[in-house]
Amino acid sequence: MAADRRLPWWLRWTCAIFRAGEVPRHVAFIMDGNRRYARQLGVELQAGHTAGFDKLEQVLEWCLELGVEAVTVFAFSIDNFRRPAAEVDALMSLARDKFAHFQAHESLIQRYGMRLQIVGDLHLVPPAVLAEMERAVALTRTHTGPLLNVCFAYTAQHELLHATRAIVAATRAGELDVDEIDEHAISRAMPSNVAPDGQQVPAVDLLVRTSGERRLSNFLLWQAAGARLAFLDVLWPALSAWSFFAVLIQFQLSQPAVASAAWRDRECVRSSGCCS
Amino acid sequence: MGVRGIVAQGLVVQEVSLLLALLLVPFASPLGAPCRAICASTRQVPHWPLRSWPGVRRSRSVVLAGDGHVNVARRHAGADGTPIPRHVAIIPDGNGRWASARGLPRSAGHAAGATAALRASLALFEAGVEVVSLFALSTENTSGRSTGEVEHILQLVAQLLTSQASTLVDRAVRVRIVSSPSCAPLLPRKLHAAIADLRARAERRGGAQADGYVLCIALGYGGMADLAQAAREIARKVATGALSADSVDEEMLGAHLATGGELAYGLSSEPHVRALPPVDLLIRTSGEQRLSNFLLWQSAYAELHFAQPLWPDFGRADLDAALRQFARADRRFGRVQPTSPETTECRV
Repeated sequence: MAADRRLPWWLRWTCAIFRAGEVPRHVAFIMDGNRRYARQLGVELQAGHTAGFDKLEQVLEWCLELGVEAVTVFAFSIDNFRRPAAEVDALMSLARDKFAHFQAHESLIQRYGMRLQIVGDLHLVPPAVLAEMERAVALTRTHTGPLLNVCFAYTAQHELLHATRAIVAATRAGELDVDEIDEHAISRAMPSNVAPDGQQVPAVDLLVRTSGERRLSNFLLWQAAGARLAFLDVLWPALSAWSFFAVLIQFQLSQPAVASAAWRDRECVRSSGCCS
Repeated sequence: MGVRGIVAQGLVVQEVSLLLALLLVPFASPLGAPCRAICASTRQVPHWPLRSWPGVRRSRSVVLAGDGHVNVARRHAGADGTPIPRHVAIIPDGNGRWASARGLPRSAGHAAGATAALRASLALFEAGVEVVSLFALSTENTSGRSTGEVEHILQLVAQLLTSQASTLVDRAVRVRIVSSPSCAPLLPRKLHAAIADLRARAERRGGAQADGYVLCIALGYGGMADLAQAAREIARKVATGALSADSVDEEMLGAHLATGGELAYGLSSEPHVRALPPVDLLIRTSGEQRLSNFLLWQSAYAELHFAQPLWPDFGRADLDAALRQFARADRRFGRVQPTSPETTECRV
């Protein structure tokens, strides 16, 4: 029932207070720590990844309550294919199940009318997972809600290479002049920067990484160039709303210093019409 | 459950953070502006005199032989085996605030920052770091700040390189200036002369110093502008047939960046402009937690260290803390097992 699914009153109240200040338009998450969580609890790794997915759904609800326009999550890196084959297979089967779950009517994506987009080197993804992904994305094509970018088989360097190759091909085809290649051209050619309806996605304002590692690990290097980076020591499945709110408070406090910088006026990171 | 129940059970972390959130939330909203202003005015500004640095522990990484040859042993581990980054990038933030806090003009802050930058770089080279990159001016700075301040910083860098030329050459430090298409024409003639002088001095000193240290100073640089010019250059080469479209890969894109082997916009005192290793450790001072468009591609796997002190106050203890964070980090590069620190053999 809809009433059962509503967030607790104190959560909605706190989100309303945050909405009085500046809320990030685009939040990115590196969901790190599932395996360590499973080890700490003494359960198998698969349970850790499942708990991580449940936490993702929770975090998406918080972001939707805050009014975030776009969320990007780092689900699986191209580097993660180097993990043991058993774990990769387990992750792929989990991904297949979860993308199938996204198609269900009562899932978060459908309830909030979120637009789904998968970004990454999809040639590396097994066909079964790819089929579920395509079905899930097709079901959200008519949605008008916030955007969810799932980065699967993704690295930022690969995405930039993809953009460069697209630009080179456009130049060879005569659609683009070599002297017109600038930051805007690259922005437009990057898949995670462009929503399914063709609008520019706002630049990442806040990037959160859990489990205490302090690096980007090849995630959203271009889009997060001006983003506030937040590193939490808590493991992803154990992330609480209060840790996230603490990050939001730091985000809001750090904003006035940035507003005066030239960053806000950069056209290639400012959305050119998405949700405005 | 009432207050008594919470107290009886003991305050758990979540409840404590709830209380903190309720206290701090007024600061976050627009109504909190007066609260923030009051706190800012009453915050004590620490006044630490600029420290002189005794030598950082030597890691036996540079041996100056009598005939002037420099053997740079690229052992990426310190004397006790702790991993040391090959490439450290520094965003020296806070010079202007440091000067304002002392009632000095911003130019004094930049001068103090330049001195601190040189000290930090030399200390890092002594510790075994190969490349130190400094973010002196960004593309955003050159478009937003007054041209007087930008000009002052450019002249300051040129002045520093001229006055410290003998020190840099003695320590086998090559200097590379990286810039962007829009800012490369703004580099003053004094800077070109300083770089040429450094190259000439190094050649006079003799010895195969191709593998010495590199001090990379970013003047009017932007990571996005760098990637854009790399894409443009590759597209131009493919259009003229110098490159085939199928050969465009990540390595080639990296080679066309300012830190790659083809320096299109910048200056260098190196005999052959070589590709610099990716950034292993990125340090940003003054508490700001952003990359701000610096070495985006190169920092894909870099450890990010955000320090609270303003840049002129960044001392040896802070540098050691940054190196310790790097040494402690479990760099897996996407795999499950931690990787072992790289060690390469001695080069003559």
